Amino acid sequence: MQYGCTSKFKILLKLCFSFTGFQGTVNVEGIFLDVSKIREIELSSTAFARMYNLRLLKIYNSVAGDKCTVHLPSGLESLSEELRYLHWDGYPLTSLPSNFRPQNLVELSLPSSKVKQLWRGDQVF
Amino acid sequence: MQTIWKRLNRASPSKLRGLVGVDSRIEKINRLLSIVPLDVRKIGIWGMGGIGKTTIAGAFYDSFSSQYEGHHFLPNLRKESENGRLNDLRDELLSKLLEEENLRVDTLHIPTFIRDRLRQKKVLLVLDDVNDAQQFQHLIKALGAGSVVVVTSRDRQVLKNVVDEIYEVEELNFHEALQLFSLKAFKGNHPPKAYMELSIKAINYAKGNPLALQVLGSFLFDKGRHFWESILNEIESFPELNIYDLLGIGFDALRDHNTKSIFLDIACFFRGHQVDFVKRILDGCGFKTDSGFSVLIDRCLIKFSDDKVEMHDLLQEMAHEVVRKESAYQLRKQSRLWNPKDVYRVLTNNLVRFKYPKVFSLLCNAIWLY
Repeated sequence: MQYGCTSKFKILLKLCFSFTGFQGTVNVEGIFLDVSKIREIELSSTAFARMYNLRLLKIYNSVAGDKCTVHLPSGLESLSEELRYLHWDGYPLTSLPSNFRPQNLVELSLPSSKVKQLWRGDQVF
Repeated sequence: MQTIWKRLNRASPSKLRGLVGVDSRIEKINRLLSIVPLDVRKIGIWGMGGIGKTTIAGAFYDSFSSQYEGHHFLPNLRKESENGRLNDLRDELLSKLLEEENLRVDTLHIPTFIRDRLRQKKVLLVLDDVNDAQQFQHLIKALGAGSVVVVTSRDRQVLKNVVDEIYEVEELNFHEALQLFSLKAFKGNHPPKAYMELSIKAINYAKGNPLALQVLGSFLFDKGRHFWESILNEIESFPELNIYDLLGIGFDALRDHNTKSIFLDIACFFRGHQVDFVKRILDGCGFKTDSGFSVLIDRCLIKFSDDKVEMHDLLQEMAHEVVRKESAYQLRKQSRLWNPKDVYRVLTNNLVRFKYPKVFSLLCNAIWLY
């Protein structure tokens, strides 16, 4: 009896998650995206929010180096603290997420970006 | 002194570098060259992955490039074409052949004044791993009499459109296979007597494919009989053994997480990047990169060339399959994303805010009541 109960509960829970679009965390450790291979893309500000293990992120254009077709119309809320390597051709915002802690970063490369100030506030290294 | 010099001259470069079976294959290319018309001779090298097309083309280039007025080797053209770099590469090639800096031709056709100058040159050109020869067709037509163009490809159809004759690389014969395997597994030309039977078993699995022989031989190096037997039994258990399975066993045999992660990172992200750069990033990720690199090089899984980290296409494909399998083919569970379409799907579906907050609260209540 107990068993039947839990399995029904699980089904309901799954249904609930699938209806709401909530899909839990993402395991990804590395993303390399060549934007010349896809059409323009608009990301939500939380696109990277649940990627807690992300250590390598490169968004680049192998054909036209400085042209980036990844847009962030509502800004960017967070980036993984695990990030070691961040490269973004034509990063469209004026600063990195304010809560981003770059203590693990080894390489930061933002060619042709709109960045004016990397971080708002103080950052302790 | 004189005799030593003579002997050194007689030993071919491929023998000095420990390339097995390459000399006889170069000989076959030369025989094909002698039967095609003399003007501009175009030879294709065709065969499956790992069979040694690039190695043979490279050895041919090393042996004969000094006999030509101009020469160039263009590697990895399939990858370059994916990155839309073929036009740039063709222009670089023209600059090099005509010894002029920054020559730019932006169209497919080559202007007459360049063609006239090319026609006076006898050149040796190697186009490696080609899947689209269009960018080079006009250039090849413009080369001077006596020039030789060697094109390698996995795709016979591509070659048919470009070359006069196709050389199909054959598998290594038994003796060549045994020698190459022994070079890796025992650092000698022959297996010791006690290992003869096991070695023969192993090379039968590799079916004369040089890449598989090297990978298999390298990880059996310095291992005891017991280890050999267990690995060979494992290989035997595959229902239909293909080359990816064999290479995958070479990867599984790495055992430690550190080296495996380094290998997968290189395969997914850092192939062709500068060694120093890759080392800095991977060190930063907390890996023991130096020891990882040296294990991977010993196992023939990666190599350094021109200060860049390189690996064979088949090994990269095997690594991609490992990553997909680890996550049970679920994109969201995949540890590394390199395919633009996959990244697109994951990034655009990664919703944290709920699409339908009302449905969500309703369902929550339902669960609560239940």
